[in-house]
Amino acid sequence: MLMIKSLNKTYGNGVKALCNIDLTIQKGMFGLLGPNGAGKSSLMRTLASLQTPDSGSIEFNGVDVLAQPQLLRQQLGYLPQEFGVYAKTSALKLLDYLAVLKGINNKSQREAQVIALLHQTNLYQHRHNDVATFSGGMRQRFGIAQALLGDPKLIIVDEPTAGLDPLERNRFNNLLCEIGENVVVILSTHIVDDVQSLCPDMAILAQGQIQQQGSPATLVANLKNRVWLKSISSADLPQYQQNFNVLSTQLFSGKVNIHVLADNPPDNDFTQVNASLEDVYFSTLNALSIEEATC
Amino acid sequence: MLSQLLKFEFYYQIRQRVFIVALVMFALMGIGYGAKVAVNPTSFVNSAYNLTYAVANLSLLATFFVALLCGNAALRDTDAKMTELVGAAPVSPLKLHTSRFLSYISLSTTIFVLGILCIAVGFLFRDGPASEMGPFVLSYYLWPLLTFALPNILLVSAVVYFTATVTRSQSLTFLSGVLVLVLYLVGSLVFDSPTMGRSAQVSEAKMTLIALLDPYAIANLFHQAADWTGAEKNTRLMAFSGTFMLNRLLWLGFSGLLLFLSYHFSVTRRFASGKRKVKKNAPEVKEKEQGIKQPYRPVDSSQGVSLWLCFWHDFKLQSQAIIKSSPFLSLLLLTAVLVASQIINQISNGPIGPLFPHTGILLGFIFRGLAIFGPLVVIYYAAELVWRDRDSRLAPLIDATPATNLSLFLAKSATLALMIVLLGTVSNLVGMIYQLSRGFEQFDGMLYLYTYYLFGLPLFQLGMLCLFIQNLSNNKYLGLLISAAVVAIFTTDAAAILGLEHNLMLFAGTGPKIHSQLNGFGHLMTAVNWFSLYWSIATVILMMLSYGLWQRGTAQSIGERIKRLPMVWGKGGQQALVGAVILLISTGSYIFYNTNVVNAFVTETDRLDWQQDYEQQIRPFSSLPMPQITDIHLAVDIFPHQRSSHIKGHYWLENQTDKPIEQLLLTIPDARVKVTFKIAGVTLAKANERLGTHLFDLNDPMAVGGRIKVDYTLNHANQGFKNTADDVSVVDNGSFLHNSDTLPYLGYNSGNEISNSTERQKRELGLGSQIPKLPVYNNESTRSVHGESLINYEVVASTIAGQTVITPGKLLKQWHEGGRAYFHYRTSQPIRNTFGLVSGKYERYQDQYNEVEINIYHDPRHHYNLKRIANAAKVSLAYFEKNFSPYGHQQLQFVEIPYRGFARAYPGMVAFSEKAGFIGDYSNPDTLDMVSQITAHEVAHQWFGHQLDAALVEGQNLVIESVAEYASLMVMKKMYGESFIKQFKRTAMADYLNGRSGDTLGEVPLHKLINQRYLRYKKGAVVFLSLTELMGEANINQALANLMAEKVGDRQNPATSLDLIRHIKQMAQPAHYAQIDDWFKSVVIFNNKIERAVVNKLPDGRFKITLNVTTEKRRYSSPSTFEVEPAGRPITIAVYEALPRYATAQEVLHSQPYEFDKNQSTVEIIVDSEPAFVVIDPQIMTIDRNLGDNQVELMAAE
Ligand SMILES: Nc1ncnc2c1ncn2[C@@H]1O[C@H](COP(=O)(O)OP(=O)(O)O)[C@@H](O)[C@H]1O
Ligand SMILES: [Mg+2]
Repeated sequence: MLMIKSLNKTYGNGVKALCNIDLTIQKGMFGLLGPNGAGKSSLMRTLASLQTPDSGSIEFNGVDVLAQPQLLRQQLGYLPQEFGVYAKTSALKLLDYLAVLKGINNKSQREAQVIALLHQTNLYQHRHNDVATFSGGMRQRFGIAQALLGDPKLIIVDEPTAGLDPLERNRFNNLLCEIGENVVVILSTHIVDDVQSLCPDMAILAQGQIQQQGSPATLVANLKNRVWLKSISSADLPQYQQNFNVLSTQLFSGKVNIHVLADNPPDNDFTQVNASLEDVYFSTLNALSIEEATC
Repeated sequence: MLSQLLKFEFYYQIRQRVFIVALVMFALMGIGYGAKVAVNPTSFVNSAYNLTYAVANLSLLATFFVALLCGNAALRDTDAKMTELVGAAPVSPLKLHTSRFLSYISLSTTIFVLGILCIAVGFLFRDGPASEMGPFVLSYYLWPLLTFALPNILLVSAVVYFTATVTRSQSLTFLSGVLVLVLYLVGSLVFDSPTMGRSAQVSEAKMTLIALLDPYAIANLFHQAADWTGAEKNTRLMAFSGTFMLNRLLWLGFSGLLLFLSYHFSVTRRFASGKRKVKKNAPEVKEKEQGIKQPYRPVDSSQGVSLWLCFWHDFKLQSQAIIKSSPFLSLLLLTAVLVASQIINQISNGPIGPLFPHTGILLGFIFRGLAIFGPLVVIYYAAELVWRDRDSRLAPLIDATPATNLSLFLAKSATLALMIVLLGTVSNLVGMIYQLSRGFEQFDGMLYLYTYYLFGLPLFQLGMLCLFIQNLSNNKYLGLLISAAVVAIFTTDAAAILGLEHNLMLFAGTGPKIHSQLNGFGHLMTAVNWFSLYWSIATVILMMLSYGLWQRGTAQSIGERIKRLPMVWGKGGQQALVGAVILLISTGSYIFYNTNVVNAFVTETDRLDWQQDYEQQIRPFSSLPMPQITDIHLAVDIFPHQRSSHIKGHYWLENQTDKPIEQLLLTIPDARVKVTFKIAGVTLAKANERLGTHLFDLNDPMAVGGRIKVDYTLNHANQGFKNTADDVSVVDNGSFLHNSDTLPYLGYNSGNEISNSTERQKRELGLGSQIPKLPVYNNESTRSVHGESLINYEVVASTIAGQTVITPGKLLKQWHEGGRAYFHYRTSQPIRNTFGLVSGKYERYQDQYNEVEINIYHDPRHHYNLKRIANAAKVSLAYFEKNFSPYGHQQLQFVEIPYRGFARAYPGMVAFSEKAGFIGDYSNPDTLDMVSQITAHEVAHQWFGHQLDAALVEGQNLVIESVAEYASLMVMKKMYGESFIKQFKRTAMADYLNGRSGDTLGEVPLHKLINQRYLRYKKGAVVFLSLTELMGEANINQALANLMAEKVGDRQNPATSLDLIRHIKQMAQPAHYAQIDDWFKSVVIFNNKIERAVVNKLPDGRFKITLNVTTEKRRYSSPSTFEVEPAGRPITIAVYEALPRYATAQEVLHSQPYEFDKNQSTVEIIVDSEPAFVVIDPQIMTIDRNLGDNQVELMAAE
């Protein structure tokens, strides 16, 4: 179990990236949803002990992460949002190297796990190739392979599917799903679908603050009967956006379908629709832009 | 379009880190060069020559970055996998290539120009008087830039660009650039080019060839400027004509050709399939392998990471990546080439000719070679190692693993250590291969290990300092800059300029590491060991800090990292740190106790202060009349391993002046020595312990002719160790006490004055003591400078068992007592007051000449030249006794001594430095047997110097040194015939011309020379050898014999150079007087040259040669002004059938003196058979500014 208490981080340039974050995360997949610049990566890096917060505490299975990062690192699998590799080093060699650094000291165990992971990530036939020449998807799969080395109890993946094609994304999500049963997996993303399809528990992070937390189902339930759909012409869109709480817009055969949040139908042409996680997400963000962040 | 492409390329390149690194490195190099440049006072720092030299040589060094940058540019599209993209764009390939190449050339030039500017900046840091600077003239910078640097950059670029297009391989590309440099170095060595240091005058034809083929054209500078004087060098630029122009055109053409070929190649290949070789794909996946596919299962890793395994794997990965990379491999190669060229060049071109390659000698060259690349390697690779993870963005993956900072850091340190070991090993291997190739059997493997200790360890320590700096730095290039600056301070003279003289403050400083053949590294190693220990401990602390502060993750400020230090270290680490700090402080204290408490710590300023005090306090007594020493009795005990000596002795002094003497001024040369005086009837008036001076008042003045006894004891002890070069008088093996460095002397010693005129000005010291002027008239009194009294010398010396003591005199008795060896020597007749006493473990080689016993005491390993020395001694004794006077001693002892570089003659004894002949290799009959010549020279001093004394006025050394050199050359002629003399004369002439263009005081005529080596030995030899041609050996010898007959024993009127010239003229024909005066009393240099030679076959079968010759005689009135006058005497022209050097008498078709009354003349010669060569002045009777153009090969015209 991962417990985060009143975590704060302000960067040297004055950007307040994390603001009183309180989260308790149980075993299983946890989705951290937020737009770019929300502070997801900052939080992930802090959890991965790559940077220190200004205040607050992090506890993982009874270990004070900030005081004993070494103990956390022994149980950590981390896939950063961005990473590179050494030039002219094969996947096999690099994985083996990282496995040693992760503490798999037994050579045969190490080899077996590396091979298994290469199979698992469909990289086996490329194992002798230079990782630097891999395509985006292959490199992400390499990233997940290295995150799974050893026996990670906490797996942190930061926007792993950004930039992958749908097929790759699917495969990747399946992989995550398989391993996410017995350990804590934190998936940070700005893609609502990923959270929807993978995570039993989630939080929405924006402007450095946790805006919502709960299972997708409960969050969606809050919007029950409050989302309305209308098909309008694109020329009218600005006017609607001004007058109503427009959650999302979608082009549909030359017209625009808009979702509006309201307790009652705004006008007669609106029809009620079932709320989706996406509606939750956007309503949260919209609320923010009205309120102004205070932290 | 083109300009757009150009701009694009330019901006792209500027952001490349190679560019930034190259820029910084080159700028630093420029500053360093400027700050350290040394000039001779007749030419300015800003002189045209100086700047040309600097620019030309920097263009050599520029090869590195030019190769790196160009490789980058040429391979860029493949690297970035942009080949298709750029290739498909609608840009004509010509434009693409042109823009790329131009941008890259302009970048290289930008860097270069910046480096040149930095030279000017460096000048500002120069520690020299402003008067040396000279005016800033832009063209002195621009012209060499245009004629040397640009074509050189273009050449390297073209080679690299060509290789890149053809091979598309990064490593080959870089290597090809470096290869240009390597070929240049190797070529220069093979051709014995003057660019490689001192070498004898090369023939004009060979020099032209070298100058033409030198790809960097540097040889042309030596070619054109060979005889420019200091004043000329200030303003003269290279003339773009002749060989220089041809050279530039040749290499420009070559570059153009390569560029055309690369363009051609890339256009034809562009549409062909041949792309860069794709790395062979992984072996096809075997079915079987896939069959045993195991599902992923977590592997328990909770037992924790292994420090050792992480270290080992990281080390393997890092070191493989670097060591297999082409830059490092080429660096190794280059180091090997550099060390090899150092060895080959230095060992065969030493001042006494080639040496046997003893490991100790090679070690010096190896260190010098390594000193260039070693610091560069640690600066650059420390940055690479620290930043590799972050540059490749692998860092977040690694940083999130539980691998400890310690293991990651140690792996980087070990990689750096491995690189250093490889550099050392490659250099050692070069040394060993060289020894093997020479068939040298004394393969001293243990000594080679010192490479790792004396070069490797300090370099590793510096490397750790660089790692530390990089670790703290937020930016790689900032880190590079700081490390480069720090390393430069600690490894160059910059430290001294900053006032850092103590090795406790000079990171990785250990003090001098001087190796001697006889004494090994000796006691100097004690200091080196302690300092090495001290800095190793400091390095461990630095390493602890480095891994403690190791950058882990992102955006951690130094403050945050420091806060984490205790956690990273843990308890054990903290304890270790405290332990290390305590150890460092105690080691440092112990060192400080030794260098500053037990021994005095003397800075350069302290030394100068001492000299100033001595001059200001003692010079007032310089006119006090002093008695003469007539007897010296000594009891000397030498303790080699304690490096101490006890001397108990007495002088007998005699008042040989014409007045009573009232005071005695006695000074010990080394003020650290404890001295006691016991003199009857004196009171100590004044003593200065720091200056070592004692002024005694005589209670009863010493009457004229009166005698007084001075008893004294000297206690010379060396304890502990010192910060800088230690006293090497008493050492484990080869102790050497020289009388005037050891025993008390009478009166004022002007040699203690500060001689540097700038320093004197700064300290307002006024004019120092001057050597007296040569009296204008020979009958003018020279009484004030009359010579010293002869002395009786007797010594009982003891040393440890197994060592022998050698000193002038006859060995009366030798015995053992109390485990020590005793030797009793006494001279059988009075000797000049100059003697040395040597103790060492020697083997004795014995020989005999009539009644004279010849002994050579030498290191058992140095047996090569014993016969030569003995033989030369015998021939010398015979020749000098026959021509001058009896030898006068019963023995002639040669003793090998360590460290110093000279041979010194004492009465009946010669101290011969290990470097001055014992290990010279004269097995090749073409090399001059310098050990015999030095032997003959020192034996000659038994006559000229010991029998004949010269007045201490200008020209003293003409009478002593030039004459001894002449006498030795006559002995060499006896042993080797004319050929030795001819070859020696050519070399001496070149050395003279060289020396004169570097003379700091300006050349004076021979008869007024003071101490200039190039005059007393080189011009002296040339003049005397020409004199033998003019008046015959017998007549000169008679003149010298007459001089001795007149002057030996006349203490009131010692010989002067005027006496010598007078006696020479007495034996010469009056017709030669003018010539003799030209040689001895003027500075006259000829410019003889055969401008043109045409051969025509006459109808009668004979050959007519028509020559245009220049015979220009320049009489110098000051170092840079001369008047041209007619030759004044006939000059010979000779025609040969064969190579003149080897021509037999029959092959000389014609040889006849011609009178020339003009500077340009035409001569017609008719000879019977077909001529091959014509030479003007074949006997080299004139001092000629260029001997190379005196000879022309003839080709018969139809
Ligand atoms: N190292 C840093 N220094 C300064 N500001 C940063 C740094 N990293 C991120 N930020 C800022 O903090 C905010 C949150 O960034 P980040 O955590 O990357 O968000 P996300 O991953 O959700 O896109 C952004 O405004 C970003 O610009
Ligand atoms: Mg992010």
